[in-house]
Amino acid sequence: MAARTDAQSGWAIETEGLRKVYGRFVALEDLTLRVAPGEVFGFLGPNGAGKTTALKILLGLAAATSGSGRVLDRPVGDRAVRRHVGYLPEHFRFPDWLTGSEFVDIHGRLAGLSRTARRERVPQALATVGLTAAADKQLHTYSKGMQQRVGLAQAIVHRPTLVFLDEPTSALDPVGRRDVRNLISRLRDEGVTVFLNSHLLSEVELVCDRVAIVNHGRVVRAGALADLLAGEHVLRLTVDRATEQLCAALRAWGTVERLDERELRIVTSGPGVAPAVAAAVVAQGRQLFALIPEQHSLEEVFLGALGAAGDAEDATP
Amino acid sequence: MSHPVILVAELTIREAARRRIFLAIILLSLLYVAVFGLGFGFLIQEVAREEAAQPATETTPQAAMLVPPIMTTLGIYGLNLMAGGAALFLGAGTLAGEVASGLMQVVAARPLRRGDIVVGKWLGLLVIATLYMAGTFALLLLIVWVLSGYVPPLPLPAVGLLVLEMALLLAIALLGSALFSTVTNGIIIFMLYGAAWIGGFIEQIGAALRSDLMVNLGIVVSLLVPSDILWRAASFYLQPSWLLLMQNAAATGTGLPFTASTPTAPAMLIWAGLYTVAALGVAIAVFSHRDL
Repeated sequence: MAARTDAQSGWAIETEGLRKVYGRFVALEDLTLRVAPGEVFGFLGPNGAGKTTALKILLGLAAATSGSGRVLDRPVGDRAVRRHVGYLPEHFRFPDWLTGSEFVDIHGRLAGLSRTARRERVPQALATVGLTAAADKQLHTYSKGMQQRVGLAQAIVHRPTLVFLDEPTSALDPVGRRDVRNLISRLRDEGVTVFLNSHLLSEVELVCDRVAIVNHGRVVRAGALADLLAGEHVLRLTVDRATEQLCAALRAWGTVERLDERELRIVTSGPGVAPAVAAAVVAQGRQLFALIPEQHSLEEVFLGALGAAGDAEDATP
Repeated sequence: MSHPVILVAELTIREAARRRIFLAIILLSLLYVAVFGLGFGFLIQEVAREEAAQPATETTPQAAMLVPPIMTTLGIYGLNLMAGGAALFLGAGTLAGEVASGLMQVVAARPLRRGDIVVGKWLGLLVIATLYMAGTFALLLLIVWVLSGYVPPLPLPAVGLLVLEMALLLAIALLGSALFSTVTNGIIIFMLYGAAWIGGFIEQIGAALRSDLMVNLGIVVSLLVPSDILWRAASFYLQPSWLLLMQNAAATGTGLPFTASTPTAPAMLIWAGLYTVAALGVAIAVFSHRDL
């Protein structure tokens, strides 16, 4: 069942200028992105940026006004491809008169699993999300976190190759969030592509390989998470005394900024200069208390991208 | 692997069972039949006593004979109104409600046609409505038979037509549900249902008053929502031939209120059938192209 159908173009998801207009309201301006098979792709943006609209188009729940897209190498909305796709919506109310295992079983049937396959997969999916003990309880007795987990179980019961998760952790407590993160990591280990809609940057930072930041219905920044976070190479130093002499010596490695008596900040020309900088400090007869490579937080990247939302030219990854 | 339509229908029925809709329907049905049986029993006793006290005169020759068929027809008429309302209630929020609650999106993201969802819902609700209709119908005739020994001439075609009426009303409700929100749809379909009822009524009064305008108006309304046509077609099979002959011979000419004393034209029945299929077809088309 898990056979890759994306062998032709190599992309799990590929879209070109997807646009969605409701009446006069433009929900999605221009969605152009590519998601590689097996990666955890973070789709970030403020509320109302068009994240859910994009996801609904990719799932075939809504039709794009214009543009094109392929999911697992089939045109967007293709029915057969949905056998290999799992989906956890952001806002949902599951049929709460069902028990957990009945609910997951029904979704196995809807996904086209045979009775034999379901007998194996339903308990597995429930175990994966840690609901084995509650499998025979009705969904209305479930806590919010348990409901989210049973939602995840229905999304993975048919062993999909691609899973769409719309804000899967926003309703959860820290423990629940960690569980969902672990599940996403496990899916990645199994080679499943995960498309994660989220506005929780810390979550995305912990779990995603690549991200796209959307604002006003456009991708304004996209790339590997590590590249986005790396940015400039900045070192922060704490020494016993930030003398003028020391600053002069360190200028050989980059632009030096003296923050106070003991703190220095160096914007270096490239990576790997930290040992040389440390040696230079010692050579100057100073004591080095700390030398910390500064990283951008995803929040800084995110806010920066939203601020520069106007120039979306380099939007494609 | 069962066909998706059967699967959706099964889920619809299971949902109804779990949410105690069946229980409510059974209780409602029993209550209705009990009240009917009580009234019917008293009426029969009363008529029998009067006839015993005042043996057959010119004015009350057939009272004991008239009561069972007339009461049975009116009893089924009441059931028909209730079941029609129940069918509309069941169907009104089906698609729209599940889209609003987010229940539909998870299902629609699965590899099944939207049309399968619409037809499966319709089928599932039709099974529920049919059980209600046929069950109460049988119970009511049983009570009448026990109390008076009367059995309507052709109960099977009658109940068949009433089930077709359920199918028609559910198709209309689902079409509305594919188009509008639950509340809007509820208002619209109940107004149409009411209009159909009044349409039949106007046509009958028009016939009594020999007003072509009223008759034509009634017919037009009946064609727009042919639910009342099906009831009246069914009512014909519930009345014994002597009662129909008597009504047709009477000066007013139209018989019991809300019923037909002549068979309904086959064209009307075909229209009602085509209408059902068309309503369902449009519901499928609308729902298939709707953004969820």
